[in-house]
Amino acid sequence: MSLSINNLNKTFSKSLVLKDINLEIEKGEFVVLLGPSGCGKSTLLNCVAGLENVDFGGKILINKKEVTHLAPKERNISMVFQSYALYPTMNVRQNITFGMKCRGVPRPEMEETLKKTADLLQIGDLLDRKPASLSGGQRQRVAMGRALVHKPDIFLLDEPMSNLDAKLRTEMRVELKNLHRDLNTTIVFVTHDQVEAMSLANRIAVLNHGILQQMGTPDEIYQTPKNLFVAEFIGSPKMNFLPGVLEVSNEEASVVTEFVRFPVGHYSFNETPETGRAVTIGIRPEYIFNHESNPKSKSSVCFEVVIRNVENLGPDLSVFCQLGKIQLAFKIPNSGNKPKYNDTVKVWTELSECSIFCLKKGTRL
Amino acid sequence: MINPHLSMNWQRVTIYICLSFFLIFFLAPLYVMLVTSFKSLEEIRESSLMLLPSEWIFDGWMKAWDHACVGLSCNGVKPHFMATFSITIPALLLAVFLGAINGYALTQWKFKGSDLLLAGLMMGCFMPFQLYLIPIAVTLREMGIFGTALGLILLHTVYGVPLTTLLFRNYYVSLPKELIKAALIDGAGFFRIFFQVVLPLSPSIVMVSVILIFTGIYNDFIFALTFGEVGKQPVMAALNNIVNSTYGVKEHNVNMAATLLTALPTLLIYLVAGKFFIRGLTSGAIKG
Ligand SMILES: Nc1ncnc2c1ncn2[C@@H]1O[C@H](COP(=O)(O)OP(=O)(O)OP(=O)(O)O)[C@@H](O)[C@H]1O
Ligand SMILES: [Mg+2]
Repeated sequence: MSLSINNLNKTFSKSLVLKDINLEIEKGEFVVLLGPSGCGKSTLLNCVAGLENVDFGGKILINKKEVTHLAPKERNISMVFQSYALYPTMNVRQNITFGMKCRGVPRPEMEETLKKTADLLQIGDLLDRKPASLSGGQRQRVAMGRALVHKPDIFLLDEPMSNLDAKLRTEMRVELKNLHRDLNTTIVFVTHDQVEAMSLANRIAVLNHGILQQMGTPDEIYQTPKNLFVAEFIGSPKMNFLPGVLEVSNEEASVVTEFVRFPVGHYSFNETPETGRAVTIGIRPEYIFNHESNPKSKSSVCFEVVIRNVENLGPDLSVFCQLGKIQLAFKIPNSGNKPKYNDTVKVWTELSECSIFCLKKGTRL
Repeated sequence: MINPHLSMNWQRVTIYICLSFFLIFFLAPLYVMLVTSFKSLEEIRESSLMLLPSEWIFDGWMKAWDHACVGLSCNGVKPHFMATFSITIPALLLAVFLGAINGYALTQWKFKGSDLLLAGLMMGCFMPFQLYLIPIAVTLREMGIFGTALGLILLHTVYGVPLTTLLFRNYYVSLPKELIKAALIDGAGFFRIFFQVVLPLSPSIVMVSVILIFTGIYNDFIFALTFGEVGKQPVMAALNNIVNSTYGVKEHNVNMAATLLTALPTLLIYLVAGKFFIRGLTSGAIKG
């Protein structure tokens, strides 16, 4: 079902934790809430679930029906908590059926739902075990099962994978993706792991300090970040930032930095560029090469850097280098001769996918 | 050079000597009581306090249990045990149950003024009983339950609740909030969450409360004496009556036996439930 959040504010003992959040989520969408620790992701999820009251004026609508003041059980949502919060004294079967018992589901139907869910999540042979005797991944599946049996309109997942090891996490990602495809429920998924966000989401909502920074598809978020925070938060290694000044002559814009002049004539500005404006140009590490990329491209520049560190990632190398006082990072395929510490090398950058931000406000130009 | 093993040994020995001293210090009275209760009156008068009885006699115990005189009735402590239990058990159950509910509500369902309420309850824990004797007497009389078992049950419940509330509150603050949230989303209400999620997690703190409240009510003397039903006082008041009776000869063996009999239930509960008590204490149940 669709979910919309209108003008939502949330105050905890006088500190504003969520600031004027507006979100529209379509039926069947997989939306990931992404943001650093303490930015208010869990709080937002709790508000949607009805576990926290929202400040006056905020509205939450599920399937176009206002639910702002309804109790959690009247919203037809389910939630999986970061800590799973399985009932420690109940076995898996009781954990999963507890909600159905509370809602007065008749016994035969309950048995059937339990069986189906257990099959789906492959926890059929764990039903008589207590949560304490389960592994992290098994607990996570039980928590999912407990949420699934409600046949919720909206699935809220609060960092459900943060307790798993890297391998299990990848497996769970695939499972979750499959589950979403099979059930086609609306899912809101919280994480502070950008890889998880990029790989799972239909759309990502980036949150910082309780403010919604940007909402968009993973590609939009990655390629056209709306501000410096989003640009810096997404991507690893981080986007490279070079402060400079805009210069416009003959309808051709360029960003002049300390050592390099970047021609950005192709760049589609949101605001008309003015000469002299202080800006930051952001270039993803994938768009810096140690060979000439496309000699004919007008948006390609060449400059020299000093190598500081090389990280071997297997197929790729992350190279950290210095241009004047500015740290830069770029990624090259792991083949041929590796750059060495203190080497001065020539690099080429392709500016077709660069971003330009106002230095003062941090917004995308 | 000092041999480290030797010095270790000396430390050991010193520690054991100290411990033995305290052991004797605490156990000696018990020993005296025990042997005295099995002696005949003549032997008590003539032989030493510390000697074993020359002949083990159960008369003292029989009399204490069955026909020692409490006031005018001479039925021993037996009927008073009944009276005590008919007061202790309901009051105990009520105080522990209400304390658990309170602790749960105060931590998991914070409402306006809940902290104030808690502070008030804390005060309740530290007020001396004597302060209330007269107001209580008036209240009980107005309610028409002065001098009845019901009155004492009410009294002990009311005075037990602050302590149990505090115990349960301190235990439940460390309960993960998400457990309650998960149950709310599952559609459970206040009482279902309490009985099916929270209470099953609390056996050790329940045991701690049971022990503390049981011994508290059982050992209560002042309420029992003041508000007990005439002829059916709780056993503590009865014991006092037996031991302090001014008629005839002091029957030390009967007194000792009656005292030991009276002390038995608290002793038993510590033996049976002591394990849980320690566990409850160490799991951070009593702090702050
Ligand atoms: N009950 C509360 N009372 C007061 N402040 C709170 C409460 N719950 C959360 N906060 C504050 O609100 C802010 C957002 O918290 P929240 O738990 O939503 O963060 P989060 O984005 O989920 O972080 P994480 O990724 O670490 O889980 C934090 O600064 C936190 O200190
Ligand atoms: Mg969180």
